[in-house]
Amino acid sequence: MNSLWVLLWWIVIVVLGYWVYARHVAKSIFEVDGGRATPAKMYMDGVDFMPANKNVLFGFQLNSIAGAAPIVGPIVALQWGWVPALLWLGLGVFFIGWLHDFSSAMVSIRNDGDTFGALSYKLISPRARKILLTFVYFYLLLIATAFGNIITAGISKDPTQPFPMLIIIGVAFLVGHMIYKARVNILVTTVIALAIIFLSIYLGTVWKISLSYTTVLICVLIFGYFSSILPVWRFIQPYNYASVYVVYFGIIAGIIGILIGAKPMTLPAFTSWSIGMGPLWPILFLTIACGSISGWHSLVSSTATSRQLENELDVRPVTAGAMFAEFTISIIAVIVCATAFSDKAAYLKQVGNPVGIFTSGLGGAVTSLGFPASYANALAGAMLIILALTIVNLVFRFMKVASAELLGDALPIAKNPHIATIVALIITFILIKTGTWLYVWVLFGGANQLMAALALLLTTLFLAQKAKNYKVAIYPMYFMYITTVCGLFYMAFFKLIPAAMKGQKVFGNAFAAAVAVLLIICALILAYDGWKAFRKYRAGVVSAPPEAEKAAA
Amino acid sequence: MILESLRNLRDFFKGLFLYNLLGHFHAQRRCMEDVFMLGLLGPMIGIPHLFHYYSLRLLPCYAREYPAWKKRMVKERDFFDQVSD
Repeated sequence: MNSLWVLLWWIVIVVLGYWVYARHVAKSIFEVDGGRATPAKMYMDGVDFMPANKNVLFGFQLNSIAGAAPIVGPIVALQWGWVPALLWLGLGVFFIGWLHDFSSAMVSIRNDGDTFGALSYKLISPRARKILLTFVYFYLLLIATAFGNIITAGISKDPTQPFPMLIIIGVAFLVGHMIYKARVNILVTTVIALAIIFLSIYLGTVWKISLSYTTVLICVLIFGYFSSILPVWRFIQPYNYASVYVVYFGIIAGIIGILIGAKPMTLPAFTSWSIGMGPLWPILFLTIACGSISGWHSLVSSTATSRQLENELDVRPVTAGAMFAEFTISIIAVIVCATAFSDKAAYLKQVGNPVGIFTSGLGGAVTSLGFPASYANALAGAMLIILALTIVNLVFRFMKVASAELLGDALPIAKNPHIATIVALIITFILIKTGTWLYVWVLFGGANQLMAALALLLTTLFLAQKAKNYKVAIYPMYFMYITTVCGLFYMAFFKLIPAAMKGQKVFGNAFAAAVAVLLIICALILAYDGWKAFRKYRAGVVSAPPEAEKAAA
Repeated sequence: MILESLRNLRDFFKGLFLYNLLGHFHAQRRCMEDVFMLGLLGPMIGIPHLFHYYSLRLLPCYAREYPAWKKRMVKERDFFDQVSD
C-alpha cells in the first residue's frame, strides 16, 4: 500500500478530533469563556504568569511536549505491524490524548494556575502530593534509563555520530557564552551555531570515530552530571535552543521527503496478537505513549502553559493543537520506518536500536530531497540523539530536585546537589548496564501513561466538583488506569521476574520489576484516595476533602 | 489574509524556537530584581534590615511591583513549580 494513504487516516482524525469533538467538549462541558480572567492576567508578574499570544504558545507547547518519544514509541511498536500502531495513535489521540492535555490546562487555569502537586493536594488528599512525588522520581529514573540507552546505542553503533555530538555540546557552551556573557546578537549567534552544527554532521561522515558502549555511556552520564549541576543558562538553555533547529529541520525535510518519495509500506500491516515483548493489549498501549497520549504533557500544560494563556478560548488551539501536531510527528515516524525496510527480518535486526531504524527511515526520506545518502543518514541519526539528549539533560536536574524534596527533611544529605545527582547517575548506570532496554521502554511508557491516568483522575474530580458531565474524562481514565496497571503487572510478573529467575540480567530485571511494583502501589493508593474524593464530590460536597482542609488550616 | 497568516507563522516559530530562551531571560532578570527588592522591602515580609531611609525613598518606585513580589516570596514552591523554571 502507498504510504500516502496513511495521510488520509491522519486527516480524518485531525478534522473530526480537533474541529468536531474537541470543540464540542470545550464548549459544552468545560464551558470555555473568553470573558473569564485567566491566571496569566490576574497574577501577571512578567515571568511565570505572563499573557502570551496563542500562536507563540502553540509553538512553545509543541516544543515542550515533542521529544524523542513520539518517534521511538511507534518505531518499537511496529513489531505488531503498522496497522495496530496507526489505530492506537489515531484513536488514542482522538478520544484521550487531546482531552488529557486540554483538561490539564483547564483544571489548572480554573484553580489559579496551580501545579499538579497543589492540585492533587487540594482535589485528592494531602498525602497524594507526596505519593505523586515518589511516583515522579521513579518515572524520571525510567526516562533517564530509556533515553540514556537510546543515546548510548545510537552513538556507539554509528561511527558518524560521536564527532558531531562532541561539537554540539561545545556549541551549547559557546552559545551560552555568546548570548549571556559576550552579549552577541541572538541572530548572529544562531547562524554561527547552526553553521557549526550542520558542518559537524557532515564532518562526522568523514571523520568516523568508533567508541565502545560503556565509554559512550560514561560520557552520557558525565553530560548528565554537568547538565544537572551547571546553571541553566550555562548549558541546558543554550543546548536546547541550538538543537531545536536541527530537529525541526529534520522533521520538515522528512515530511517533504515522504510526499515526494510516496514509497510503499514494506513492513507487514499486522504480525501477531502476541509477540516477544508481550500481547498487543496492554503492551502496545504502553509502548506508544507520546503521539497518542502522554502524562508528560499534563506537567507542561499545568505548570507552564496554563499560566500564560491569555484567554480560555486559546486553550484548545494551544494544547489540543499541539497534541495533534505531535500525533503528526508519530505518523511520520511510522511511515518512514514502515517504508524503509525490505522485510520484517531487516527491521527486527535493529529493533533494540531505534536510532538505527530511524536513520534508515528518515535518512531515506531526506535523500528524496537530493541530499547525499551519507549526510541524510547522519542528519537523521543526529536528530534523534539530540532529541534524546535534550530529555536526559533535564531529567537528572529534575531528579536532583525531587530527591531533595522527598528525602531532604529526613536525610539532609539528599539536599546536596552533587550527591543527589551522583546517586541518580549511579542508579541509571546500573539499570542501563544490567537491564533489558525493550522492557525498560515499556515500563517508561507505563509510568508515562499512569501519569496521564492521574491527570484524567484530577480532571474527573474537577468536573464532579463543579457538577459537570465528568463521563468524558472518567471513561478514558478507567481505560488508562486498567491498561497501565495490567501492563506494568504483566511486565513485572510475566517478563522481568521470570527473566531474572532464569539468570538473565538478574539485577537489572529484578530492579525494574521492583520499580514496576512500586509504581502500581503508588497508582493504587492514588486511585483509592481519588475514589473517596470522587464519592464526596458526587454526593454534593463541593469543597476539598476534610483532610486537605485540616492540613491547610 | 496572507499578511495575517504570515504573522501567525512568525509567532508560531517564535514560540517554537525562541520563547523558552526569552522566558529564561525574563526569569534571570526577575531573580536579580527579587534580590534587590528583598534588600529594599525585606521588612515588609518580616526580614529586618537597617537602612529604612533608602527603603522609604525608593518605595514609590517599587510600590506597583510590591504585591506580585510579595506573592512570589511567600508562596510555597514545590517540585512542580521548580520543574517549570
